[in-house]
Amino acid sequence: MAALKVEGVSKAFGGLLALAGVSLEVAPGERRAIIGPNGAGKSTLFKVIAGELRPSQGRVILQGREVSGMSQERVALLGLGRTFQRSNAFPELLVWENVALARWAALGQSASLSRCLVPEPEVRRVLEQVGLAERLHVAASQLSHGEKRQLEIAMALVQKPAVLLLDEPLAGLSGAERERIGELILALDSQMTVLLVEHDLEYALRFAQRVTVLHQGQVIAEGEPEEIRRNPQVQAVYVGASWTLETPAVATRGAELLRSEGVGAGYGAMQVLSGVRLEVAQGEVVALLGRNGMGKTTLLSALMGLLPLWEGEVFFQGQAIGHLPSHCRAALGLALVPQGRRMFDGLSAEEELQMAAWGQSGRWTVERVLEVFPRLAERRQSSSRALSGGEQQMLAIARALLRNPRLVLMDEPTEGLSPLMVRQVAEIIRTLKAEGETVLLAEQNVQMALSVADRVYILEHGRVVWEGRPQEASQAVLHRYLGV
Amino acid sequence: MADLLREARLGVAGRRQTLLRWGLVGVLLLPLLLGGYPLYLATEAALLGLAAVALSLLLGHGGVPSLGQAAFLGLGAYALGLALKAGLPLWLALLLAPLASAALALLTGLLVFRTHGIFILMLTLAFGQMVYSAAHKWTALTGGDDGLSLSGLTVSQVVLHLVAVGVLLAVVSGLRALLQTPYGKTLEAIRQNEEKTRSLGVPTFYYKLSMYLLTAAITGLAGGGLALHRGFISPHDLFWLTSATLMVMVLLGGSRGLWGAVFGALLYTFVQAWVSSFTDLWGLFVGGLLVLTVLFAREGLWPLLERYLGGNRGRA
Repeated sequence: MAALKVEGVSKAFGGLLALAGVSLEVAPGERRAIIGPNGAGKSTLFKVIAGELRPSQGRVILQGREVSGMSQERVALLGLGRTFQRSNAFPELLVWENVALARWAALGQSASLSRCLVPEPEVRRVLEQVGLAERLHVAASQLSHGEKRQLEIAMALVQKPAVLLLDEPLAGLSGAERERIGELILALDSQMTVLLVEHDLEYALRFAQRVTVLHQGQVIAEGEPEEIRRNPQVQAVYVGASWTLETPAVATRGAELLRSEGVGAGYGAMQVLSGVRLEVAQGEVVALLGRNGMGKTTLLSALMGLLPLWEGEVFFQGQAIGHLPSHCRAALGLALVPQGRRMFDGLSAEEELQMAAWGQSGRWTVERVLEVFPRLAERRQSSSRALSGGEQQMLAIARALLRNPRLVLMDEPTEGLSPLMVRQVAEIIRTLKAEGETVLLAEQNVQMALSVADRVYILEHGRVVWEGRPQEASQAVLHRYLGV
Repeated sequence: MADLLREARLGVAGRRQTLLRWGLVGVLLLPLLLGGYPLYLATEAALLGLAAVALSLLLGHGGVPSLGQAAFLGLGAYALGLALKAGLPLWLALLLAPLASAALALLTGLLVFRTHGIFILMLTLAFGQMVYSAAHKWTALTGGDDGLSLSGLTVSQVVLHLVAVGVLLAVVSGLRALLQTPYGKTLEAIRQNEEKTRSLGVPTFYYKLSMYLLTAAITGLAGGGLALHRGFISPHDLFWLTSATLMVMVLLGGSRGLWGAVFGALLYTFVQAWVSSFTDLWGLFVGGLLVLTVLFAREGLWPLLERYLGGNRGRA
């Protein structure tokens, strides 16, 4: 009997089909990795299995028992454990209290009134196993980033789940912490069935006995790690296909516009970037590639001044701007198109543009923008929230242009867009290039980025690991992402 | 060794904290020697304190921002008043008060806990105002604007005060013990991360509902006590301002640990009486006090006292 069986599960959000008939079967004690590019439906699949989301179609069977349609509390009690991508559990409770609560919950006795919560031997044993024995009496909020993951794993382990879902346990961790949590997961009890979603493919392929590859809500391949690595379809998903690379007009590089030297930055105690050196010349489109959590957004935020620099310097037209507040950098000509587009509620497309153009003068005016983006002119009266994802992205970019920037920073403009709209966005970027704008583009969609870029940087664990021409980048990406 | 030192330090701090708490109880009992108006106020403070403690559990520990506590307080009062009017014995009337409020909590809670955050605030406010309107308009039962008088009943001021303080202490100790059990810790967990709690297999809805029933019952009992104490029930005490007053008491004293609510109720009651004796600008005064508390003692005034007088630098 399979430990977990997913049969033809579909999940629609409004018109968007996040899962389109996913089936898989995991044997008891198996190590299974589920991989796929952003938006492939991995997290949705985990949520459906755990009962947080109800599938639109299909069934989930846990140890021979159908659980689809049950509440997530029931599914948890039936033996499904789960760690979250971003969790700090119960921050005000002590570490051992967090774990003890998880234990009582699994025993179905959380409502007990007859005794005090105490750190029982079982709780201590699990905390020892994950390496938090020393931190027993610390509030969970005091833990480091990596320790919080260890706690998250401890809370899952103490419940003795038959099937454990790990949702990106390594995301956002660096160096030693990554190593530690990685080892911890590899050393889990072999009786337990473990499913892992992880963007670090190298790790995922090392961990797994079998791998399932999701793409656009469908299973496109399943097999042993070695097969998957060599599967041309999987490679195509990660690098994309059917995009023609632009042959850039070589040589005539413009004057340097932006340069970062040894930039380091991070959040709280966690350093995300270190020693990042990059250059953008006038009129260039530069692509910044890297998987989830490798520091792309952090780098753009640091360049824009939304995050303080820890080390290094940023030069803009030769002037050191590393310590200017972000509004001064905006005044100098830096504009950021943030991830997720961020439309204002209740404004029409045209009003959004007028608001952005307020008090500005320069080449880009509302009229000019509507001329360059005729699609927006058609939809000018629509509420900006009612626009399609691609149109919203267009609007977000147009908003940035109206500030008449010298350099546009774009943070994953294709995130969550359908292939057709991705092409639209690529078209927009080509238009900008033709208009002589300079763009620094952070992207996960490798092929789209390569099709518009003049030069490419690959960011990994907060460092630039490769730079070069788009023509050579495909090979580098395959090597970096899949280890081919 | 480190553990021993830690416990020893906690021991000293613990003793000082205990002293501070007994000091608070002493202040509540002191008016027994004075009698008259101070005693009247102290009983008022103890009973409002009981309602504030319930709200503190709900708000500070359960994370449920209720603006409808006045309904539970009022329903308890009317239940007791009407029961006495019907000729039932006092003990039975005192039992009916919390039961009536808990019944209302069951009805409203089933709806309230389908939502979160600000919507809970709005729903509890709406339900509270509905109960207020009912009490106001259902003249045949409640006497409407004229109120309900409990004349003819003689309970000694001193006895009532002693019982009120006794019940308050019992409830605070009981609830504090409750907070140390798996049930209590689970409530705290739900406040901090409900999704995570559910994913661990805890049906959080029932935890929140049961806590809501418990706090409503305590508030109902406090309402019954207030009716006895004042000898009169006015529908206007069910207006939402009473709920807001309770919330101010909790926020002033501190919403965690329950002793803060007792302190807040005592402070509010006495300072209000004192300030109103020479100016009508009481609202301005309490507003200022609240602003200062939020700015400089976000956790409330009681934790501040504990820190500076009780020598406690850790968690309450």
